[in-house]
Amino acid sequence: MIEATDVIELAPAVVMRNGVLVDDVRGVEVPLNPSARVALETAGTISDVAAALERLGAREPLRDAVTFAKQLNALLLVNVRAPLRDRVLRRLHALRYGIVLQAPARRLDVGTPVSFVRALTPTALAILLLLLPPALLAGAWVCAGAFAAACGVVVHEGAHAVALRGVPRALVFDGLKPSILHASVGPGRALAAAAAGPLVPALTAVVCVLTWRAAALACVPLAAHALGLTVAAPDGRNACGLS
Amino acid sequence: MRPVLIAFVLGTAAVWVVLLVAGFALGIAAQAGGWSSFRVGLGLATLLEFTREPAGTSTTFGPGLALAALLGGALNAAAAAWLHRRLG
Repeated sequence: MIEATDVIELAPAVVMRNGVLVDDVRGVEVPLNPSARVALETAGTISDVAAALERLGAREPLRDAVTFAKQLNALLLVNVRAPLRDRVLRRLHALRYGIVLQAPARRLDVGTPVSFVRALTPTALAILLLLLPPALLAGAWVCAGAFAAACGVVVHEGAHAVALRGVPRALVFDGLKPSILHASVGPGRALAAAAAGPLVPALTAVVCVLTWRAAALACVPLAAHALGLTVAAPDGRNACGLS
Repeated sequence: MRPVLIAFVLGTAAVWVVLLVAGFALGIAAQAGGWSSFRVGLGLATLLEFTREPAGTSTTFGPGLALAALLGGALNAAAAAWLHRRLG
């Protein structure tokens, strides 16, 4: 889904120092060859990067620039930005041929609770928009369940972030699916961080149900987060040290 | 051994939470829908019993809830052991 007009930029907490790409969140260093260095120093669109690579003698500069952006984006080292209108048009165009495009991963710096909630708002809204129409037909408690499902995502990721307090971290979106990227931690901290996400919304549901039984229907989406504790889900595998 | 033990504990907790909240939700739906009394379980292991009486309704969890949670934990632990072996 990366095209020539897209803008390539270093992800938050990723810097270039002495020709080496340094990821301050994961604490990793990626050495760059001269072409990669020139490409990253050329701030701007993929076309700008392609022009810079052409000056270095690349035979297929645009293809090289797109491949370069794709690889660094897959490593969560660069973000690729495109206007919303362009992204929607590309998706619609691909859908005509039965192809579902995958958006480039986005890595965001979420230093404050407000920025964290703001970053997760589109995901929560998407869940709400998806669930609300059928929920409206089913009644007030099911509508409350749709709201709980939307809020559950924020609570889930928030719990991961709180459990990782003091550890460098960033929020990563694969499409609308959020996850937390963080520095390597010990097995105990990894267990706590992985389990906190599914456990906090699930325990919220249990407390809510035990104190206000009538709200049970609305609590089901929050309780479903508990399934994330099993090894069928990435959080469960991370908690067990199986990833 | 550690991954298997963690998987057992987390799997047990996960199944317990899901069944508890889903059971209460079923009870509420049954109450609102005017359903007659019913029981969910296998043999003697009652998971949930909904009772409608003239005075009102009640939802009761039986020993089947704990058994189902432990079974879920055991399945999760078995899956973790398999994954652990596969990862080497």
